[in-house]
Amino acid sequence: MNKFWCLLFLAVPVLGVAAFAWAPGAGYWLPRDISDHGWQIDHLFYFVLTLTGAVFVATELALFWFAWKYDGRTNMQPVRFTHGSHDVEVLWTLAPAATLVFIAIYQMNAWADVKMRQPDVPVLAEVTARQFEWRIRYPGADGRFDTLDDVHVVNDLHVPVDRDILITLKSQDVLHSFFLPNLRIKQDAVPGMKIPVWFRARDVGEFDLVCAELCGWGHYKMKGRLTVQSASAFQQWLAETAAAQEATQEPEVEESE
Amino acid sequence: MCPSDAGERRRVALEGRRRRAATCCALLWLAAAAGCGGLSAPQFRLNMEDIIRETPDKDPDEFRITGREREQVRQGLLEEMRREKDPQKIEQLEANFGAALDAGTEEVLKLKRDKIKKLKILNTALVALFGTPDEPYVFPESGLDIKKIRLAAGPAQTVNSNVRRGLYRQHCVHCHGISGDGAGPTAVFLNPYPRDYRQGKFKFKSTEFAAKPTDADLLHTLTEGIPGTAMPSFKLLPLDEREALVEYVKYLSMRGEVELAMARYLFVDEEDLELSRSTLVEFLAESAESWSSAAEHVVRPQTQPAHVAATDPAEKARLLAESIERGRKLFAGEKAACVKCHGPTGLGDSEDKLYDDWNKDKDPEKFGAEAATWVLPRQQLRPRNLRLGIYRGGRRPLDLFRRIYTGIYGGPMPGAGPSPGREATLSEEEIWSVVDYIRSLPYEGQVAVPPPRQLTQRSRQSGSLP
Repeated sequence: MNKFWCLLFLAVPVLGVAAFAWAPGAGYWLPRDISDHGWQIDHLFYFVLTLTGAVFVATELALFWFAWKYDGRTNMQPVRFTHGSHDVEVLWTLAPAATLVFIAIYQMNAWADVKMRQPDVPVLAEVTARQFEWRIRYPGADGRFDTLDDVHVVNDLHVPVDRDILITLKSQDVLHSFFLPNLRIKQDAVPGMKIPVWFRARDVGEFDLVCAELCGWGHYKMKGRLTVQSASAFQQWLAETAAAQEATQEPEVEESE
Repeated sequence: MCPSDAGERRRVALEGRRRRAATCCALLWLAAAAGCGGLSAPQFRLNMEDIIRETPDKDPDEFRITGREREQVRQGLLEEMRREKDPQKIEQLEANFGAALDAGTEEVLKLKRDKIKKLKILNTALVALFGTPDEPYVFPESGLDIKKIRLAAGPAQTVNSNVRRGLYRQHCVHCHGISGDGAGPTAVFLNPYPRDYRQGKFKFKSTEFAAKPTDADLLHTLTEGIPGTAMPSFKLLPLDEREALVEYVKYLSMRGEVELAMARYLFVDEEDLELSRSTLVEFLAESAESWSSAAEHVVRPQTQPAHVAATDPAEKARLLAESIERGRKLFAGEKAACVKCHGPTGLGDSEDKLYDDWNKDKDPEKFGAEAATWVLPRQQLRPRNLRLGIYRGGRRPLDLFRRIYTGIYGGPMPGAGPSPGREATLSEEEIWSVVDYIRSLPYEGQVAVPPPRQLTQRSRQSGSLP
């Protein structure tokens, strides 16, 4: 094989590693984690990235080395065929299997935290995905859903900071995915199912709520805003929104943003 | 065969393949570039279908170019262009019928001189008044803000990281169409159909029955979306972008209204339209006035429900219960007659032959073969199911009050408040009671569902069930 092609093969692991070394500094990396459990997700991500990265680099280097060493133009040795090696086959079956079993056990705690250990708190809000928006409902002053004082908002999820937040996720039409990148939360919304989602936010601020499941041509429109605020600010916002919803007169000053 | 010969031949073949591949790539690239450059600018489509439906006794072909005429126009233009030897222009004219009409030759005009002339006048007048989708233009008399319209018009693009243009084509055109006719590519899959702006009728607004919506009303619809329909919320678009879209919706609506008025004048009244500034402004003025005066027609309730003013919780609950009971009686009674359409249970299942203004003239039986050409077949209107707790025009008591007080423009829902030439059917207090009753409907089931008593009794008697 031409030396040029060999070097091109070598460029793949070199550039691949370089891209990953460059990206975090340039801002193309994981979004800021503001959640309590997110470190587990990130840790698993880095763990799997390191593992697959090492295997990737090793494989690419081997590919380069073979291509370089056994160049058909310079190598006059005749080709030798074998019918495989039982030992090698056992090795390359057991090693990946053992690795996968290890990962499966290693990630159990993270999985349980995100999907099984539901906090014992009342549901803060019900989020209903539909093409192409997030309809959000809070139980209102009486703390119960499906009553007259439910508070309805759209694309604007507010939660208090440093609290266990429990949300019920629904879909009105097709599959959507409730994705809070800064909270390392991603959960499919499935029509006909009520799926609980929980998290705990550490920092106040405004963050993205996006749909992570291609749900139709307007998928890109399905962007909401997550506002994490202090408990008192959250209560005030909820009370104001509830009061505005009960308006029997046009508010004195027109809403301006 | 000599090996060096074979090697040589292989080398030559490879070389040839490489060269061909390079040529192919270059050609593909050129074709793509030419394809992009060759796209003709979109045009507003003339709205003759409304005129056809308004005059069912006339032959639809009186108002539009038939397929045969279209072909004759095309052939005539092609003939002319062949003489000109300008293939690019031919392509453009083929793709763009509006422009083709403008460029119509004398021979072509002889075909159906009168009709084509009228269509040409209509098209010219509208282009003069409103420009094209890529190059919008407004007269100062329209009261529209051209800066906002330019932000919303044209192809979708980002000028720099902060300014996005072509907002309408990015977010709205898919459903509402380039002409604002509510017949974009996705429209046919939706129920209800997207709003056709060209009649200047909007359903969910704060103003009197037939008045235009205020800017705040359109902004509200854009910001909050319309639950129960396919209209999503655009809350996270920056305010200036939403305001630009509101202005563009008004622009499309005004253009559509002027177009309809002119088309009626030309084709139904069979008058001559003089293409002068003063005549055009005359047509524009009526629509512009109705838009600019919308804010004067906002409905503001003079009273409040009694339970809102009450401070003592027990008293409040008692007054609310009374109001709901009063509302229930009104809902079922003769005076308000809500049950006629919304049904005794409020499920909206009492009337199944309702159509809104955009569908009522689309009677397939009356139009026969013509009906097969409609992009959007007739769609029925369902009276609202009041037990779902989904309110298209807003869920505030104020919004529901306005729906009942003014009715819904463009739909069969009548207003209960006073309107020109008609007394109010309900007093404000009565409307508030109906509002309270309607708001209680989705939650009526909170009191345990009664068991199916009759079945239980009968089965006990027969002894077939334990």
